[in-house]
Amino acid sequence: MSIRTKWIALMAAVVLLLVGMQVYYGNIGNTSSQSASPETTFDWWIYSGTSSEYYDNYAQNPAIQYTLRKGWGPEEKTIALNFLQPPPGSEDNNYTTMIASGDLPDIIDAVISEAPRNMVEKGYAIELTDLVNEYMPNYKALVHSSTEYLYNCVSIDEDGNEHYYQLNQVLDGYDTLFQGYQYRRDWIVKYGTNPETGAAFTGGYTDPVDVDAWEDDVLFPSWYDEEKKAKALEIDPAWDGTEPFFVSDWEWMFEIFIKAQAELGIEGKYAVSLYYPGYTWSGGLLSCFGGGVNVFYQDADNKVHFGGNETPFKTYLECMHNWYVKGWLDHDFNQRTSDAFYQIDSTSVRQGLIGMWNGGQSELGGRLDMHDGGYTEGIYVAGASYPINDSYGPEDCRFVVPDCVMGSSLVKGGILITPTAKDKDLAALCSYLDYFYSEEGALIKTLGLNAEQVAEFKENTFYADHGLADGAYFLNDEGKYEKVDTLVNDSGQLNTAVGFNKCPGLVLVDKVDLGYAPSYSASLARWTKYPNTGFFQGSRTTGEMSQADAKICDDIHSKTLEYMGKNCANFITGKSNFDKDWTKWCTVLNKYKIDQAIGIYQYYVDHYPFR
Amino acid sequence: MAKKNALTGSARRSWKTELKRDWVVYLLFIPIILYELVLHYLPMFGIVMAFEDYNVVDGYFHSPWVGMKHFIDLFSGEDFLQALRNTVVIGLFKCTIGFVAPIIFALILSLINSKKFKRTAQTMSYMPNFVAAVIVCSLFTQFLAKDGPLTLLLTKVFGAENQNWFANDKPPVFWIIYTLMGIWQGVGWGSIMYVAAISQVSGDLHEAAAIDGATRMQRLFRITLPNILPMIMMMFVIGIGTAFVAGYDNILLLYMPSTYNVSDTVYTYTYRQAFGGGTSNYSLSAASGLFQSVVGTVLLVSSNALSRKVSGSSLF
Amino acid sequence: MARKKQEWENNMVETKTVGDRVIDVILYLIVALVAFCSVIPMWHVLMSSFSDGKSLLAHVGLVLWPVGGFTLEGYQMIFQNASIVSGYINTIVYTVAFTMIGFLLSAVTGYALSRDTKLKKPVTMALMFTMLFGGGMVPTYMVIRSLGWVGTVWALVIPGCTNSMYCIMMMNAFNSIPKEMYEASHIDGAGHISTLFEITLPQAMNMGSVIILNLSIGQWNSWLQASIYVPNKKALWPLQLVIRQITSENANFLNSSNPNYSRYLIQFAVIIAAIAPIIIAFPFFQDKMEKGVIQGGVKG
Repeated sequence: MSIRTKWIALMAAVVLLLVGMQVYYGNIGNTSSQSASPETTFDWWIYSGTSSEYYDNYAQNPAIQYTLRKGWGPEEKTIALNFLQPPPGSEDNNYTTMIASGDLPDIIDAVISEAPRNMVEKGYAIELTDLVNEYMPNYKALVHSSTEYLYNCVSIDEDGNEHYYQLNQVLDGYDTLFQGYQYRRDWIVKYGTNPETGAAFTGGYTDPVDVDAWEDDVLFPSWYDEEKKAKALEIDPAWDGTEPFFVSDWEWMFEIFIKAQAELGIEGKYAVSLYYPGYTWSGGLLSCFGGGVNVFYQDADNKVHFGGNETPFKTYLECMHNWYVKGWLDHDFNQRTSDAFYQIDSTSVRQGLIGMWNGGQSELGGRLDMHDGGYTEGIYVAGASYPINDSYGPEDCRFVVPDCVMGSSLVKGGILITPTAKDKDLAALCSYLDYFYSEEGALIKTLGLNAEQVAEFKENTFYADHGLADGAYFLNDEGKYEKVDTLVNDSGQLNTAVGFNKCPGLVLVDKVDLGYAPSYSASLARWTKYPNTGFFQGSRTTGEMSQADAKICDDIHSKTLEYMGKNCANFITGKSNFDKDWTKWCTVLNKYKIDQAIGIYQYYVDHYPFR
Repeated sequence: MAKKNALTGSARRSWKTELKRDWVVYLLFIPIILYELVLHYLPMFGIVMAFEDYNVVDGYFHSPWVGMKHFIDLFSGEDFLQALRNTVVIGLFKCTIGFVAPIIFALILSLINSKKFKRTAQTMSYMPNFVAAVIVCSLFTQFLAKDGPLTLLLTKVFGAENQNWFANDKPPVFWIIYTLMGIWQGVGWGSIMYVAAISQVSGDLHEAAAIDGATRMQRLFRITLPNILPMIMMMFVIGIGTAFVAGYDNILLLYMPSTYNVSDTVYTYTYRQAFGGGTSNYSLSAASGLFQSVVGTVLLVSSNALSRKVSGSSLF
Repeated sequence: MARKKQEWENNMVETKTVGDRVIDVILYLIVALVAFCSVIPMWHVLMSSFSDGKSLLAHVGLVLWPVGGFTLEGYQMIFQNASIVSGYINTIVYTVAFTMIGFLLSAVTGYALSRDTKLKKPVTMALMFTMLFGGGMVPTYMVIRSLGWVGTVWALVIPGCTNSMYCIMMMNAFNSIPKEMYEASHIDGAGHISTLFEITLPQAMNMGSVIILNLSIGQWNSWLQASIYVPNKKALWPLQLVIRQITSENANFLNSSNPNYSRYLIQFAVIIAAIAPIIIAFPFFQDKMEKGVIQGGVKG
């Protein structure tokens, strides 16, 4: 073959390939099997949170298919939903291009959008007030049943009129957190002694199979201190001394951890870890010293503060410095910048070398035991609530209940309906969505289908295929809805695949028994012992901020955080002292126009409270 | 028979005669001109974002105009100068050590006789290029952490202190580590084009030189190197132009507040300012990008001029 | 020509001095060291992908051998995904199309730039300009949308199929071909098109293969374009986007109370699954680069 023939062949091949691609790819991806009329077919953009493990498109979700079998709205029309799912990790790009190009679907997840009111004002969403009043009796009744719902779901204008701009996820109780402080209870039993009698503790696993079943006779020192015991019972009448309550209890544990490590021959480790800047952004441990978070928060009287230059923060740093000097605190804490907040030095934790840390649900109980004769042999990890400060700083920093902590909110993200859907049958859509605010719909949304519904819905084999022929849940003896074992023990995302969790609606929390062992539930409960009332970042309060205000505040916010992030660790390690350097610290922070931000935040706290 | 045309080089002529004689070449320019115009130049309206308080909902044409505000914000930032200095220093490291490493590797490869060995080694040296940056960074942070394998090696061989090297804020440490990391990841891949260029050098030249009694090393410096010099100069000019602009995102995975004084670059500084808070400040990031592009252009033009002066070859 | 050099070098072997041998040893050692250091991370990833998830999480440092026993669970999990096969097919199709279009465009442009025309300088400068300045993601999206390419494969195989660097590299390659070659071709009565494709491009194929290699690897590894332009058409997703979805969905597996630790292996297994085809195809490229002749270029 001559060179020329070869080139001609190559060109022909290129042309053929391109034509082939046009034909082949032009046809796939456009096949839709919509049975409903265009009027009741809705495109729904969902942010994330669905798994591709069980079905390709969210519309194949059995809960959705079950509920779409019947007609909705006054005319009982068949609805079809078509979900647009951005590839995980590209959600923000996808949202940006969608908004910038104006190609809006009918429904969008409001997770990363501007305040819903702004979206409506700028023409990217429509106001839903009339639709809610007419077609959504369940939603309307529900949001009026508590002020927290009302504050977060409805905008009330100056004349007292209610405006609905979005439809929210509404929870019937506070959710558990996936992370929190936890410690090696087995080390306390093995290496600690009763603070009063000096007797060795006894305890251990009560069930060889259940990693959560554990019993011991550990009592903490403050139980034996009458004064502290009284204070503790004032804060929590149910306290029985078996859980650490005060900062001094934590410190007592740290000594035991250090002793344990010495006896086991673990070198170069520490008793407790700390997130790298020296504090956590949302408060947490810092809030135990009075005041609130290191940045902006509101106090019990709804007054906005900047916490970074206040005494509670200084007290917190003094405590951390003391822990550092005593060798309890991780000496390399500020070098662990690549670690996530709840996975600090996680390899050491997983090797069983650390006494106390901030970690996830999967580290509780005996879950870390590697059964290889290493340091995790016989481990039992218990959750700890935040400690109450009894040792550091002035009086008003002591014995205060932390109120700026990671917490769950009763109202979560929602959806917006865009002008694209204006001419469609919104009556049918709203009636359909309203169903999920009723208890019956909420069960389908939150938990999936029960045995009866599965039996009735034979044409869909999803439940049968995944070992759920008896449904996803049942009503147990205590009158709670309990998940079936297949779902409790599932290590994948089957739980999210059986219900319609991306739909706005009522999320059942209190009425659901997740099927956890009691000791495990107790550990989780300790993480949410003190509710959050002060930390408003990311809540409805900041969600309502105008773009301009948000920008000013964020700017100040990030500048202060940058300065604190760079310098805070020095107070803990002792490079900076608490006299001269603290004054300088306050002077610098005051330069960042924090008063301006306080003023702006105060307006939103007053007008758009989140609680 | 044939008239003189652009095929063989020519003197300056008018557009008309040019088009008449070399219309085919001008035709060949059409695809790239269309491609660049549509896919690169049309979207450049997006640059206006640097002068606005851009938000997605208002878009490019309705966001409030703020003029130079973002540039002023950027330049007046407390740590901007420090970030700029670090960017310049890291850029210099990249353009010097980082630039010559693949050339040296390619030259060494050209001296290896065993074809099998050469091929295997070459294939192996490309591997780091395929490992995602996140994994590379996490491996390096593990290796250079306190008690990490590399740290222990350095302690034993050079008596260096056992420490987390990424937490070391003494000036050249971070820069050297970062440069070496870049070399390690790119040396094999970067050498491909030099290997290709070297293999293009005519064997006759080598043969003639060998007959004249030139040693291997002499041939390397008198024949191979001069022959690939235009290529090297071209890569150098491009390298300097882009050194300031690209490749700083990995630092986000490696730096920490306590080492900002050596590790903070214009990119990372802007990243924190623009995306560190709750809302994303796209305009600030665009302004910073524009600033870096302008600096890159100045560097590119001057290195091009320098290349013309030194080696007689230039890009434009 | 390269082959000739190789033969000639082989003939020279006998006349090596002691000094030459010492240098040889040093050179071999350097190359071996570079190769060794380069292969370590891939070995680490490979061995991690065969490890036991829970043990691997508690392991610190290099993985030289599967930690906690040999498993294939990571691979089992990724190949359960229905989209992975269509991902492989799409990626292969896109890579071939993208590389062909990009190579032809770069070669044609490089040739045009290497000729002495009035457009040479302005086009080179215009190309350099786009290396440093860009409009950003959203404006580009808007332009591509008005071309009607959103949701089609064209948005994946045409934008980015060449860049200034490749065009200039090709220009350089054409420039380095002896002038006599062009003159001879001209005297034979060949036009630009036949000079380009039949006479000079075969000579410039060394650089051409480098560009082909870079283009194909670039497209093989790309996911960003697809995530922007075909986010909702899963049938069009390339392998890397499918893989990204699988890894992102498993990134937070530890948040569950009862995590499946094998999910930790996914992030390692996908790297191997994605680069295995490249490593298999690689020797082929190397052949072409070393030979640098047209026969290879046309088939590729």
